[in-house]
Amino acid sequence: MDFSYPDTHIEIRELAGTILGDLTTSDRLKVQEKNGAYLDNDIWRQLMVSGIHTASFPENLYGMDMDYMASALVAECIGQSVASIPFIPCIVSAALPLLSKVDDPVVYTLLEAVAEGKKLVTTALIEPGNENPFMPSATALVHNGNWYVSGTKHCVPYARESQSVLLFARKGKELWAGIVNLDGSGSMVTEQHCTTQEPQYMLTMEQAVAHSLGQGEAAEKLLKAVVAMTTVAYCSMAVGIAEKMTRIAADYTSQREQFGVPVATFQAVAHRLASCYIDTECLRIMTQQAASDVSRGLYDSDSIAMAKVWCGDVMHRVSQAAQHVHGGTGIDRDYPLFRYCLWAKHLELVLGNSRVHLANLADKLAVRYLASATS
Amino acid sequence: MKICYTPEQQALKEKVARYMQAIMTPDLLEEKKDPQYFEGGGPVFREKMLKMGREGWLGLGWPVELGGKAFGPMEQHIFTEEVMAAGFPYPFLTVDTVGPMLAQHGSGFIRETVVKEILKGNIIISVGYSEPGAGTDLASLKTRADRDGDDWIINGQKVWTSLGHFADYVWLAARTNHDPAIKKHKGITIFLVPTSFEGFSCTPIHTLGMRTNATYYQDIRVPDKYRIGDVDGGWKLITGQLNRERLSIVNPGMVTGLLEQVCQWSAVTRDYNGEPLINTPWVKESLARTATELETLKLLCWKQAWAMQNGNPEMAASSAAKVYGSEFFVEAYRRLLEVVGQAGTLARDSVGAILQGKLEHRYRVASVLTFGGGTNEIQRDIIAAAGLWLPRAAR
Repeated sequence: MDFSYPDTHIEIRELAGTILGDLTTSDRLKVQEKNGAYLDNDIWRQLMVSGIHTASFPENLYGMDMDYMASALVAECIGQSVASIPFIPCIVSAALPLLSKVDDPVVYTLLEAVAEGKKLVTTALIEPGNENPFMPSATALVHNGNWYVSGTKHCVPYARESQSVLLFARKGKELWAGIVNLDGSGSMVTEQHCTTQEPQYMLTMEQAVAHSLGQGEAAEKLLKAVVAMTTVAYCSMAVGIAEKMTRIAADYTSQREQFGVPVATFQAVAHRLASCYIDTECLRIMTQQAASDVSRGLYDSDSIAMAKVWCGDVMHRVSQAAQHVHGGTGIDRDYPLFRYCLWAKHLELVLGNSRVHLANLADKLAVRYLASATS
Repeated sequence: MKICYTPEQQALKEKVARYMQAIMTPDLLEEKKDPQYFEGGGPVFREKMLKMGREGWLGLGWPVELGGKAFGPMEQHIFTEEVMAAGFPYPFLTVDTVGPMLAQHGSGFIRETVVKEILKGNIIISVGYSEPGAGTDLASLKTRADRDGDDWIINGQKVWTSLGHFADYVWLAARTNHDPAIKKHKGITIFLVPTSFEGFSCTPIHTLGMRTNATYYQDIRVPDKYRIGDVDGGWKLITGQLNRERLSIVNPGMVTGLLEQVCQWSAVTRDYNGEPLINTPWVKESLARTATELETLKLLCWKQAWAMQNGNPEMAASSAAKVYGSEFFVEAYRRLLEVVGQAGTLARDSVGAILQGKLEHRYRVASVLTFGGGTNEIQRDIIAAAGLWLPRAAR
């Protein structure tokens, strides 16, 4: 039992926090939003120069050889600053799980380019009408030794900014994993507009040329890693967001006076924020346990679904409370809180809301107790 | 960061669980049915405490020179969790909260005659804070101790003195300074008052869930060696004891045990279609939510125990654990009772009672915890001030 971070992790968190905190100013985000250019290339480049994007890569791929936990901490810093960078969808969701396939020369070349900042690879996990990543309806087929994928994925982050996408499809009854080159023929990327303004796209594939990463158990193993790493990274980002929303609301209510006193001195206001504090600490500790499990390769652990249940609930509650105690200021687009609230909604719903994960946990629990009842 | 038991801690947990199975004998279960003895105090309970003390289990986290094993707070917490899960009426206020305070602040006499006896399972201590006119505003208490030579004369009344009808001592907060110029909380001293002394008496208060007491202190002559800490320095000891109490009262052991039993029960119980109850969607979802929130409580407590072992636990974090845990308990018992159904309200002495009526009793007891050990409103005030640095309201 150890709740402390090693020094190397604390350093990474401080470095990421400094870069993201210094560069992600409200004015800068406002200009970007006006220009409709979400990806902040300057910040992304700064992170890459410092090597943070490859903290969890091995040394032979320009990395720092740190565990998954280090990248989860970077995700927490992104939540604190709502920086517009593709760290989670491209590095955590795609690159980190692909490290297990690094013996494949295609994967190695791709990851090398990602590490050097020359390429981006994103992940496509959901489809219109089907948000279960493990049951894709896209199909893969092999012809003359070449692989092709057909079907539609959507809400694919940074698809236009990326050169390739890691995705999953059905091959007969089995799951199949592969990489599709987004410059190649057979794939079409259409812009979607989502609540956070993160660039997201619909990806339509008609016999798109693909590189196979395996099928059956191998594909399932890879997808489990992708889903576990992505889910926990979003939970970590949610920790940063919850903490920051509570901080913003605490600062505001300490300054704002009504009836001649700061509104934070009213117990009803202070207690609502105290509840946000409790929620944040609960989410943090569940996320830390899940990240600790993912770092040890335990991708099936209940801790991951449990953390996401908390993530959905806490994002909803803290976002509403933070807006509420501000009054109108909280929803003013000239005030920084709204960006956190938009991301809170995204994190609540991405990769399964609280009810979905609770239902999965419920099924596992019933199976476990029924098995011990009959044995 | 590695949030799971070490192999040694896992082994300890299993060892305690096995040990407690042997402690929970039928005669103890029978004795617990008597409302007087539900929280311990009966002859069988006393015998089990002595056995646990003799076999070295009560002093797990205590220094060797006091008869302990010098394990850390984490190990002490693991032990308490398993003891509570087994349903043993463990006197946690004595062993886990007042005991350590006595070991730290008591005189040599107290350490020899009381602390060592606690570890032997020989002594039960009640806490005497609240009075008819002093609850949340504890510093306004009126029970007084007046110096008389080498002794103190204690007069006053306390309420909610749980276990007072069989306790050997009361950890009592009394006013020793009446100077109106000093702040109220700076005139309080702690005494360990033997209940065998003349002038102590006790009457029952029957509450929704259990018996507690009003205790009376009439001209009790207490030698100075029973004073704990400095004269007028009691407030620090009160907050120190309450910090430990907050962690103890949200110990997840009890709900862990009951959730396990309700899960097992709903896997073997069939509904009208012959389907196991646990396959009903809302049933398994309720159980899964309870399991999820219980896991959170476990981690919060582990982190507190870990923080104690590695320096100082933060005040806001310990209040957060207390608020979260106490509010979770209330919801958890509601959900578990929903699963068991109306039959869950059959009391333990009734024909047809389910799980020996434990849930029927626990829900009646659980409501105590949102205000006991420092009401949750005060805890949220502490979080707002110490965790979020919000300005304090004038009081």
